[in-house]
Amino acid sequence: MADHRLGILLSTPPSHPSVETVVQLAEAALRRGVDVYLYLIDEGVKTATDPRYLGLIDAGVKTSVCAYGCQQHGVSTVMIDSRVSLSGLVVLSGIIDGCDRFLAFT
Amino acid sequence: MAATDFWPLHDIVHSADLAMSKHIAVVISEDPCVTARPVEALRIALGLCAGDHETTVILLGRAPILLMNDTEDIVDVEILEKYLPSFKHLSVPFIVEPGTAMDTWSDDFSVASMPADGIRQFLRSVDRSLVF
Repeated sequence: MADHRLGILLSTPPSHPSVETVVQLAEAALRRGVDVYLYLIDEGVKTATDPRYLGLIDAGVKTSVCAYGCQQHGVSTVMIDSRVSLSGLVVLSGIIDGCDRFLAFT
Repeated sequence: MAATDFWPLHDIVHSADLAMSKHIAVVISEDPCVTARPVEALRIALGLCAGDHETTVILLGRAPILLMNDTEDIVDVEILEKYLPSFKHLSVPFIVEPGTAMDTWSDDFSVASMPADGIRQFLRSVDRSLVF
């Protein structure tokens, strides 16, 4: 499974069931040796400080959060883990380019 | 170390067998007068157009009002108005269902009509799909 890459887009708020689905999916992918790239956008940026998502970062999920989304939804970037990349849509475009599987939870 | 040093973008996109433009469909079916998500979906679509991707936007339900002149009830309409000119300039393709009422303002966009079966086949043919 080496070199396989899974891209995940999450745009839903923390209360949405997709948030937990993404956690489970990412953990399962990591267990199989898949590189996981997570992009948080729109209300998904609110999960950037969620303990479950910090756990994913600890486990190796490469996480990026939409800087514009943080501004729109009042998420302080000061509170975001330094391992999270504050990004724009060019990074999402790159994830779509470079991952052989891509799932959007919108 | 800068946050972006954690996982440089080139690590992803310079994979020789993967880094190529994709055909992407952004499907918007939520009501723009109820939620801000359709306008955000258009922003995302525009961002993906700016790369090498072939991006097509499919507007279902009430979403075609995003391209109409009477937009005052749309949530985040002031944001929408900033992005719409770029969709015209880039001739981003839009697909709507047959019978969708469009106004003359919409003529400036690249809008095509496609029956539901055609849209289903189209979605099966694309590399990536984002559904809002």
